[in-house]
Amino acid sequence: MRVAVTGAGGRVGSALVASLARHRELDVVALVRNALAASLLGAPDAEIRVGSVTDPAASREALAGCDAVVNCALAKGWPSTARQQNEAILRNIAAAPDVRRVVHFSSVAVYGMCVDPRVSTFAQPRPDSSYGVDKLREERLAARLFGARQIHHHVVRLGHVYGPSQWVSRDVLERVRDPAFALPFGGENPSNAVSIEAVAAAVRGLLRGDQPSGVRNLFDAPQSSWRTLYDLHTRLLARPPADSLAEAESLALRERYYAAARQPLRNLVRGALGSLGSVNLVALAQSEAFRYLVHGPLLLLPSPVGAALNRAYVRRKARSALAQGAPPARTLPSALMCAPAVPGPCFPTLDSREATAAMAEELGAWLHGLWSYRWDACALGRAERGAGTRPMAVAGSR
Amino acid sequence: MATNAVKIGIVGAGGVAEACHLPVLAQMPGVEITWLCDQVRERAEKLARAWGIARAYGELRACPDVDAILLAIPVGLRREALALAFERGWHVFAEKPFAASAEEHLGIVREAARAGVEVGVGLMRRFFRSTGVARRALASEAFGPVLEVWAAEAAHMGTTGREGSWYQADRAAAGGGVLIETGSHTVDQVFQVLGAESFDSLRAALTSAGGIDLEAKAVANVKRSGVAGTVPVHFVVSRLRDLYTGVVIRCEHASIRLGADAARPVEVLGPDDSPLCTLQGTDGGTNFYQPFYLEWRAFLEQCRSRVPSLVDAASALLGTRFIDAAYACASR
Repeated sequence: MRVAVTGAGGRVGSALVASLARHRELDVVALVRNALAASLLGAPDAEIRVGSVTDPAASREALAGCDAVVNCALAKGWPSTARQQNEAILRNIAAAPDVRRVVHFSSVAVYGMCVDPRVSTFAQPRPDSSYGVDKLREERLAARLFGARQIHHHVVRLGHVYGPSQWVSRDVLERVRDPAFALPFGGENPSNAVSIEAVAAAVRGLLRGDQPSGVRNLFDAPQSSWRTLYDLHTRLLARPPADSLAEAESLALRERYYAAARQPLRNLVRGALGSLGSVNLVALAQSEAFRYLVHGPLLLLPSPVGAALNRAYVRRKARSALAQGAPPARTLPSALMCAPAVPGPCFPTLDSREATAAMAEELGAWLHGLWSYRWDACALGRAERGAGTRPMAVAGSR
Repeated sequence: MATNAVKIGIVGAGGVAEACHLPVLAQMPGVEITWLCDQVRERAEKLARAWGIARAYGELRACPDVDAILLAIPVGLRREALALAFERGWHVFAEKPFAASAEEHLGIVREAARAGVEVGVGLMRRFFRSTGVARRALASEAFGPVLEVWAAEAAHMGTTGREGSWYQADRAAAGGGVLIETGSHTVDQVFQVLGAESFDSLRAALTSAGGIDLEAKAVANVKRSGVAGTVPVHFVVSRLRDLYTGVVIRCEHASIRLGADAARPVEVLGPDDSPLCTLQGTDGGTNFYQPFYLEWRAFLEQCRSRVPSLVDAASALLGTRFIDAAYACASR
């Protein structure tokens, strides 16, 4: 099976390319947008194609001969443009003549950042962030497009991915650097996290297997707690375990996140009234509640109007920053750490203990590289001296 | 200058002009952005419209006279724009990297002097509060003599969001890779904090693709102004790997750490590198926009007074020399 990975330069995409390409039954095609990204990929066993999947013609060429697609691509930027591009990617994949099977990555963000299972369910998820809203919208579009063309498709609501080079592991490291950091609820809450090893195993399973098309969660099985996750990282770093936040403080923090997610309008009005006379429009515009409320209407505006609004926002933001004093010293534990398990079943994949053990050595080396500022400078006079080279990839090169 | 308001022209309608300079210039008192020029005229027109700039051009020769220009185009494509600016008597504030080689750097400074115009360089970390605080702490020897410096800025570059025409995928336009693009900031930040005067015993290694370096390591002994002896300094910049990012300066009694972003304060580290406290200051930027504002204020004051300021291009020559020498050393 020839499988294309879109967004192959990204953190999840590049790890998947490397993992899938190790399996002989799969011919992996990594899709990236420019030659520099291709050279950074370092995936000797994969075919690298340079091209854009947002453009219909370029996409046809990039996906030619591919039986399956794993869609890791995520366009970012001005919301309406990013949404158009992300939807264009789905349309172009659906239009590719050879593609018969698709794995599309959504996110557990569709349930909300601090999941409240009383209001957000597997069948009717309730996102509370613009990212979650867009991901849910993409899920529905994917089901419609691929269903209409009878393409076997799996929408995977991906948990918080950890492992070498992954965002969650980086976040853990940055937080444990801060001596004031403490885990809410002692870290005993389920993390809704998933190791990159387990993601790769699940994707292989979905590409090979005969599971029906549909939506699936993907997180560690058995579920890992935040404590397990943090202890894994601190142990690999040979650092003391993270402290625990007191129960009362943890509950208060969770209530705060729930209230913000449940009552975006009330929160917004209260925030505005509370600072009447000196309304901080920038803070308001940056708040998730505001984004949640205005995101939809903003996307309906003609793009010149939207762009003009964006400029006004940037102006205001710069003015506010120029008048600002020293930044706040402490950041709170994130909403994710206060959440219970996401609702709904999880796609069976590698046992999380096996997955963790399989990547421990690589994760440890990566964490040490990030933690320690020292490196072997003596090597500069010996083996490393001079120029190492990597091939600069061109379209279609292997 | 001709009128009360300083007239500025912007050359290059790319990301750095839009995200970093326009937001601060647009609200700087006594500044008027007169025109915007980009080789892709539509791009110039679009950005000019969005920011209420009266005129947009696709050809620099057609632009009317201004007091100063922001040069925000890739380092390898600046020769004509610089020659024209000097010919027309425009002061130039150039984004980093300032020049692709030390020879070119010196040449630009000399041509500017002949033309009687000021040239500044946008190395905005000079205006971080942390840079000033660390510099003063080292100068006072509060933590004893400096023993060594480790500076790194390294993150695996994943999705770039850029198409094939991106200038950083073109060596001639970008002037190199990560060493010149990212390293120009890191090297300058370290040299500023140390008060560097010269360097020797440079060793360097690069990992490259298509002539573009993706990772660079360099070690040198740096002589500090007014201080006897030298300090070993280690640099690594990378797009290939995630590594520690920041500058750690080990002194006899403690270490200090500063970050690559303005918001991070200077931390004092104990013997096991655990943070003990932070050092406070009052001057310098502590968020994204403030350093850009401060560098423009310094540059405009330099244009007015003709006294070199912290942005004066000549003051960045040592950094360019270091990067130039590191490229030469690594290719030997």
